[in-house]
Amino acid sequence: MKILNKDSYLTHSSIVESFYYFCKNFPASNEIEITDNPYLRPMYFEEEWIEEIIQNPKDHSNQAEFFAQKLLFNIYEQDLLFLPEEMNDEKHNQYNIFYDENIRTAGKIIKLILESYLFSSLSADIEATGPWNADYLMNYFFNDLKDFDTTESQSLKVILSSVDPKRALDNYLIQCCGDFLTEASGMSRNILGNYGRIQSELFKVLIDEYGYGVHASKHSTLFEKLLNDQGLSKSSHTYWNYYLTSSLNIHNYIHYVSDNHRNFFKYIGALYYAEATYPHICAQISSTIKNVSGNNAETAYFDEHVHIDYYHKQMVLNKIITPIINKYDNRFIIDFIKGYEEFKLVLGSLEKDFIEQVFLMDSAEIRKKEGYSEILFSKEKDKSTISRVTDEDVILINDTSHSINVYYGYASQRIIKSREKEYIPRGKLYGYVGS
Amino acid sequence: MNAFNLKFSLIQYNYLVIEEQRYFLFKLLDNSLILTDDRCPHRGGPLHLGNFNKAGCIFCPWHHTMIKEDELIKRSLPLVRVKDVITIVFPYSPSDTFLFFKKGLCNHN
Repeated sequence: MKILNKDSYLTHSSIVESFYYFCKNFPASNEIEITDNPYLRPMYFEEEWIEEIIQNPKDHSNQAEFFAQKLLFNIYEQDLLFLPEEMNDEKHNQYNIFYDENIRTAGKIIKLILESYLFSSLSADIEATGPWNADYLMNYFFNDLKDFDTTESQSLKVILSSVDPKRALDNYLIQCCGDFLTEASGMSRNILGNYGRIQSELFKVLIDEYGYGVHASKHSTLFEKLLNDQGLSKSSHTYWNYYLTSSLNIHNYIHYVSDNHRNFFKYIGALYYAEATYPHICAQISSTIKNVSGNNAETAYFDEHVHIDYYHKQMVLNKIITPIINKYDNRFIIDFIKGYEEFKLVLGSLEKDFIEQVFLMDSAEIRKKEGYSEILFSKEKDKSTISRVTDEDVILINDTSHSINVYYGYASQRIIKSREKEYIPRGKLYGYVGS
Repeated sequence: MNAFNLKFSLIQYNYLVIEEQRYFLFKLLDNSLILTDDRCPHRGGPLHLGNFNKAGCIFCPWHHTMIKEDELIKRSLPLVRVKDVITIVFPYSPSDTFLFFKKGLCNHN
């Protein structure tokens, strides 16, 4: 997918200007955790990252990819409505800016470039060929999933073995916030239009997610209750700075395949993978929460998914995928498979990323490695509270006369005294509490 | 139909024998990968040793029979590639024997 070809009506400079125009509206904040203000999503960027995103080289830098994920996430979320619990003049102004027509237009211009940058390699990683039919597809799904219910989530194992299981659990739940607090918003993009009985079947899944209009039953409400029980904020994007590249990737992927209806059949494949695997995953999460926070801990959100996704799995397979094949023959089977496998890869990348982040929060002994590139704190271009990643393993040196405070996630901070060093592995999230 | 998923690395293997059936990995002109029947429909010649032309057709080494791309696709197995791992779906029982090989193949590249 090449955006900047000879036929493009957009010039390179107009695209770069659109990046700047969009990003300047997401400036740094003094707070790392932003309560009850869904419009503040600070982003830091450098010009070379924008150039990399536009050129889309084979190998991506961690920093540009992290920035691209945050940027695309904000563009998608301008299509969703967020209102704070309490409104004041400052938030009202930020509300107007977040949904400003010109900023949204700039976002639409760069959206396609970001999608190409973030998802074209994923698409190239997966192909399906050959004489597929419904029988082969059902066998493929059945065989692929038959052992899933015996697998153990490595992320959840790491939470339990962490030096601070509660902190690890909180950070796990925080990675879910981006999606669960707006649950099924991506799905709802596929509800509009007119496409027959299949539309009504998908709508049945959607109304389960939205609690049939009963606010207390809405899945996002159940998740808010769970966050509250864990002592975490339930307001959208309080923990914006702690979102990992890989969790942003999950949320963005669902919006990506739902936003352009050319990807509708890939979306259905991804949805099937989600519904087929969530009951087992959610049962494990529920058990982990009880293990960490006690048997009385709130787990209704995950327990509900153990129950309802069993039905959703059948509904997506029997009422959506099979009728589509009956109606349109085999032409969309390959898209079902691609969406199914793409979402599996996307979910898998969070597992690895999260585990490494917990190791970083936990381990003091890996912090004294030598032989890596060195970053002098005084030379850091951006010393704000905005989270960041590095492209290579680095040693951060506090070359100032005062202490600095570095965070690696929620409730995970370390003071680095003057002249002290800190090891930061490539691609792992960190940020400064303040300097 | 009962079918099974069989996984293998495309770096390690490109040729598969299931009972009497022989299949080889072949890259089509659009760069998509198929696992197709190695037997020429004419007299069973080994297509993986054939030549191909710019239209993506294979010529069997035995009698120069031309097999077009769409025929190769029809004679292929349902395949999924995720990075370097191939999964094929085939209607055989697990008791059937299958063997993997790495062979020199005709290809576009």
